[in-house]
Amino acid sequence: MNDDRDVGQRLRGALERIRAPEPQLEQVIGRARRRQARRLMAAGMIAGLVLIGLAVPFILLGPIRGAGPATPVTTPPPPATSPPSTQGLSLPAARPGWVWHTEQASGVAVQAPKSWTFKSAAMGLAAPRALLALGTGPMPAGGDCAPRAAIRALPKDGALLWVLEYTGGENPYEFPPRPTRFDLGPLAGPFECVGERTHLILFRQAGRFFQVHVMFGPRASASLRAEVAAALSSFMAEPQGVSSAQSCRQGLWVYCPEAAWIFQIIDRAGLFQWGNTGQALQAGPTNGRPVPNSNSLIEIWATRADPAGLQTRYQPVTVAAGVTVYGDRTQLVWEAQGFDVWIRPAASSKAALPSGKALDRLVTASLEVPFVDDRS
Amino acid sequence: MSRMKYPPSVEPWFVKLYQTEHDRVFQVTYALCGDRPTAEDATQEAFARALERWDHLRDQSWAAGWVTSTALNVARRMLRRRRWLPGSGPVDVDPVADGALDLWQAVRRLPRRQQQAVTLHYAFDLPLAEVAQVMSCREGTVKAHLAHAREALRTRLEGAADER
Repeated sequence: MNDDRDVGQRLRGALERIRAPEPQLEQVIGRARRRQARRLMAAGMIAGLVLIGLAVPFILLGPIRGAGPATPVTTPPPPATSPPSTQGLSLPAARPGWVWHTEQASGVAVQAPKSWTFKSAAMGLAAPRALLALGTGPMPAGGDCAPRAAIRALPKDGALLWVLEYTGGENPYEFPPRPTRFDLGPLAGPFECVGERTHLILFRQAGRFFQVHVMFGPRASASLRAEVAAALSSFMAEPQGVSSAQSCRQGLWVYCPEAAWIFQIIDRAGLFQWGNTGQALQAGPTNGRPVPNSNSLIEIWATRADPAGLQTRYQPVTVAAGVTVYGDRTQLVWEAQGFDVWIRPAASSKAALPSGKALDRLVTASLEVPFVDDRS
Repeated sequence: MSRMKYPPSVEPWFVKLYQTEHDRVFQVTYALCGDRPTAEDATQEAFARALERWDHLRDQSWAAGWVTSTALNVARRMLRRRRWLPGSGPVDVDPVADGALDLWQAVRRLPRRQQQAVTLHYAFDLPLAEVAQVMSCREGTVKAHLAHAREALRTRLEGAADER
């Protein structure tokens, strides 16, 4: 059953024995038309209700307005330097020589030098949703899950970035809280869609989950890299849905910044994140396989550091990466960045508590990965 | 066929998708929901929705996977609604009696995301990256779903064999 090919063959073989009805393309097209008609009708009704809602106050207030002195209404034209306004975003003035680019449909905005090219919805990707692309060079259309034509046209001294949004089904902790300033980090991949290595940045902001890919030509300058980081740091998004902070306050630990921090620690320590229990993440070593064996999983979580100190409740067990690790036979705990980081074998696993280099890597990662709090 | 209201470029693409994938979408939907009329209805509805979203799905290799996921969601909703109709008892889900479908019965009992991953990867042969696109998650997450699913399927089928 573990053999991929065997499972596939057995499942497909079983399906072949189910007799399908005759295809009815006409009926499908008819159904699509009815859906479209229903949608149009609903849109018409909503528009009608909105119009009525707007008209009624005017009609009621008309006599009152008419009774007073006539006041000339003047609308001053916006100054030439004023930023564009999106519905829910209040954009500050752009940096000198830069302009704001807004993507009204998805409620996001980004600032970039005037000479750069901006393209909204850069490819026909439905999930995750492609929001925008920015580049120093031309931006020809083309590409399904990555802007391949723009990548091919990337100048040797140029830069290209594109932003995707995940709209459901993610593990929220895989998207760390958005930092004030972005660091592009190392190259990662190559990613299947892109076919090349890119700087990959995941973050959450305003209750939304974003993924950014950044590529540079081989002769891109350090100043261009700084400009790209600055452009990305200007990214703004309209809030949608419930924010991670609210979900965290409601007790959903996987939305808390601690969970995002632990996820990054697991990643930095070279472990594979397997899932979560709602209060802890599960992880394990892959040892060359695509996923870890479920018998080797540990659970890892963090709580605010105990002001009384761990030594009041636990015995020191070892020192890893210069940090005293406390614990007992069932769990280990150490302090990092104002948090107590806990590990224990997963309930269903026969894993031993990490020791030696494996523990060193976890402790080091907990000291190195900055904790970003997005609760305020 | 009467003239379609949709852009003409959609037509050949959609007709091809429908002709090549209709049977497989129906078979998977039926195998997982167990009710033939519901599976037929849900399959039609899913293709109709695909036609509406032609601009996103056109020429995408994962379009069939998207249609199947939609059909399964529609089927589940239909079955749920029928269960709640006043006076109607539990839906009479066909016992898929054929032994060859034991494996699909086991798939039916998996959590929904695992079902989706198994269906797209194994029944439609979609590579992991495309399954990840349809499921709006990462490849690693798909791998984890598949590994969990294989483990659950093995346990259930071994348990069923022991009972016999």
